[in-house]
Amino acid sequence: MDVINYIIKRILQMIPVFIIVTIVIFFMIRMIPGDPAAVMLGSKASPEAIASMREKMGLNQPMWTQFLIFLKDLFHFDLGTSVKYNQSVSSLVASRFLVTAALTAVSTVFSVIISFILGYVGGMKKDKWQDQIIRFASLFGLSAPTFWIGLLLLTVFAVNLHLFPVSGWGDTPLDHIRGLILPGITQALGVSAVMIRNLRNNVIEIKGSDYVEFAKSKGLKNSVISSRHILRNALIPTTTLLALKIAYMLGGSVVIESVFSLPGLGALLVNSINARDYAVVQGVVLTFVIMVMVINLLTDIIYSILDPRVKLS
Amino acid sequence: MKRRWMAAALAAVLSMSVLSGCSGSGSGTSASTAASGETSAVSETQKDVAAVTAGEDAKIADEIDIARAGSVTTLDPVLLSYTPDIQIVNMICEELVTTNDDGTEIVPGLAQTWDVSDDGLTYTFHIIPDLKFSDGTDVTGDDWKFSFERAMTTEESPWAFAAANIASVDTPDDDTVVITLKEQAANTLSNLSCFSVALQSKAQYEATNSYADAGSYPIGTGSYAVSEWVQDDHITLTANPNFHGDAPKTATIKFQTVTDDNSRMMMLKAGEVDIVTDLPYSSMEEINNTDGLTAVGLPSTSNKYIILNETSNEALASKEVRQALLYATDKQTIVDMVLYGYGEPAVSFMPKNGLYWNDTIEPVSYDVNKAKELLADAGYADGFDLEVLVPSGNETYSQIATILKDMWAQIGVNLTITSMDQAALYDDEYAMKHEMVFGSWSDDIADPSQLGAYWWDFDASQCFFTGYQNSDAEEIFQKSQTEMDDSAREQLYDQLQQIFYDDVVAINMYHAEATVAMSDSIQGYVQTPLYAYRFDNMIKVEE
Repeated sequence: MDVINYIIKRILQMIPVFIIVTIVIFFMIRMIPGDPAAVMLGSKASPEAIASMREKMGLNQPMWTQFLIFLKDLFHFDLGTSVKYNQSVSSLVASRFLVTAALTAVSTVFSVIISFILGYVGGMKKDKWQDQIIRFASLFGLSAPTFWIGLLLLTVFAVNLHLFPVSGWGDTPLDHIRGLILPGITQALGVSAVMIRNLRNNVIEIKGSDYVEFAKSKGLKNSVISSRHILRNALIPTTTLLALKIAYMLGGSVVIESVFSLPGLGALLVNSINARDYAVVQGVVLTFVIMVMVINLLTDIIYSILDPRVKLS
Repeated sequence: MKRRWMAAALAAVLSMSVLSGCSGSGSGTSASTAASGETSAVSETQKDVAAVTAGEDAKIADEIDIARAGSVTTLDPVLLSYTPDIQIVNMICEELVTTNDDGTEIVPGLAQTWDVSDDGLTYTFHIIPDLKFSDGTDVTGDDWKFSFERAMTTEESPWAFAAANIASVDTPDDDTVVITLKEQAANTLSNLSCFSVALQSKAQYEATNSYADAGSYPIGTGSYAVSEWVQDDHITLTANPNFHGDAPKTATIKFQTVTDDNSRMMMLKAGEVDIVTDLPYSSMEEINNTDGLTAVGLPSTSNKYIILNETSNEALASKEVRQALLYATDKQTIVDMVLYGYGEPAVSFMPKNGLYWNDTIEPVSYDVNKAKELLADAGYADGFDLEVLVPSGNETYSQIATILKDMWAQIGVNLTITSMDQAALYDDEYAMKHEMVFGSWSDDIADPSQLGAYWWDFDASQCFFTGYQNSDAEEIFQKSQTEMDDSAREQLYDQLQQIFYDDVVAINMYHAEATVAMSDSIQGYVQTPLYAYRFDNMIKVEE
């Protein structure tokens, strides 16, 4: 069927991108100054100790040799081993992937709830008091730094009210969800402001369009007009924006995971860059690339579902 | 018209909230509450937190939770490098000898008594009989031999110094360890108290593929043993059921990793953790003013230096110029603004109250005019340019750099601050490309020879990356390594400290206290100045 063919075609298109990114990252990270052996052993290590460690880590081999070894391993689906954690990169990434994916999912759910509802209400009640409040709130959300909002939420809901943990991933699935609520809301607030405005403007534009006027004059019920005509049409550009924002949230996970102590890919990436753990940096970047490409693919498919005029090609 | 005014007012309000939001981030180094060297009247001292006042039948908790900034990267005693690793290894493994809680003396560890041969080369240690590892297996001579061999033969180890002087290790029976040295050395027992030569189970080493398996850890004889380790998240220790001494009072201690300073503090306030380490100095007062919480500064062996590279900047090669910078540095102000009074200006390069620490050296006073004079004499009446490299994300160093920029501008020295990522900074430092960096040190043994070697053995670190070479000083240090007479050795170290200060090898900024915050329900908290935890008597009293 069309959709399946389209998906296969897109996946095939991803492969060259994947390869190029791999090569670029491999060389880029190794060209940055900084010696993984020195970082690992700390400042009290003697130059001999560091030289010894470099030898052991295979860092003294020429760059091309290291690249060929890397390619050979990649062929066997081996992403290498982390020097810091003594674990295969694939198992390391797999264990952290869940956290970041869950965080992004929770943030997406919250941003959808917040922005779709507020954007729609703001648009329908243009210039009335509801709209004024929503516009003010979204402007505030846009200007205030995300981590500051996060700290506020933490102080009120975690420290004072004890409703959620201050940080941490926890041990049980229930703990996991509880631990994701505050970071999820924090990320969602940062992203929602733009989406609220976008949806609101779309709703206003559509409300004033010809076919809505015509629908009203036909005598259709308001609720039918809202759902079938206004909402569905207004959501199309907003959904595209949402996809962009999700990719943005993946990047933002680096900060959020540090503040809320979530053991996810973002935190792993930062730690690995600081430690110059080359294999892990490559593995995490590749994972992010795949996640963004998958999200784009899903967005295009949803777009084609929402807007029957669009054909997947 | 009305709309314009409202918009303007709104913009003003929002910009103020944004600005206030900006200062609320990071490690909270808000300059507005800089105390003038006083600590809060209700702050406790080291003795207060170490005291246990609860009666025998008080109800105590099974688990104590501690939040730290760093996470454990490896628990291999020979290859670990960072404080979070060292703290755990110190709890699960033990050495022949160890230091007392004050960090001032060597006391028996696993060795109850020992004899030293007349020539000072052979030490015979008598071990506690019937010793078992935490997994119940018996300790044999093989385990001792293996533990020392690793320390002696691992080239990559940052702790090679601890085993460098050992010629051989023999175990005539399971309760006796004989160590033969290459030459006499006064720091032998201190070196043997280092975690890198702690007793580890050989079987565990082999079972974990030489500690190469992910999440592997040594099995030792310490009062606690690792029960769970989730990398970058937490490590849980439980009381060792086969411990040779009295069982620790608290069954489980969980160390959580929380990198963000604010989050750590909030967890303490919310009661989610009981103890928090690495507390920013600026938060001490806030914690002390919170009911039910206490923040204390504890003695430590930390020193902070201003490292001036003589080889990369012509001006710094001149002793007068370095002296001028010393005169132009108001150390007390730095202590007040950065440490909020939890520390004191340093004169010696050695840790405060450490062995042979000389507190009789006359410090120069803060004197801007004298500094200008010295600069003019050296030929730099118009000052000169200087660049300092600061690791990005390190709030303390950034703050100090900013303060120094201001202070030194008064004598015409133009200090530019360059922020770099830590690994790249190490690269430049090792290659001696920097002009100025900050140096930090804390001891791992209770003897000045570890620090001494770092400064005075030029190959070790090019004199802590200053490039300063003084063959007389290097000779004095070498002599101190084999000098067995205590007062003679003390005199040698006195000389080193005086030379250091007179020549301004580096500027010794301050001795800082280690900070920790805890709930008032915690009693018996003990931490040595070497930053080792002694938690055997620590309890959390439940109301």
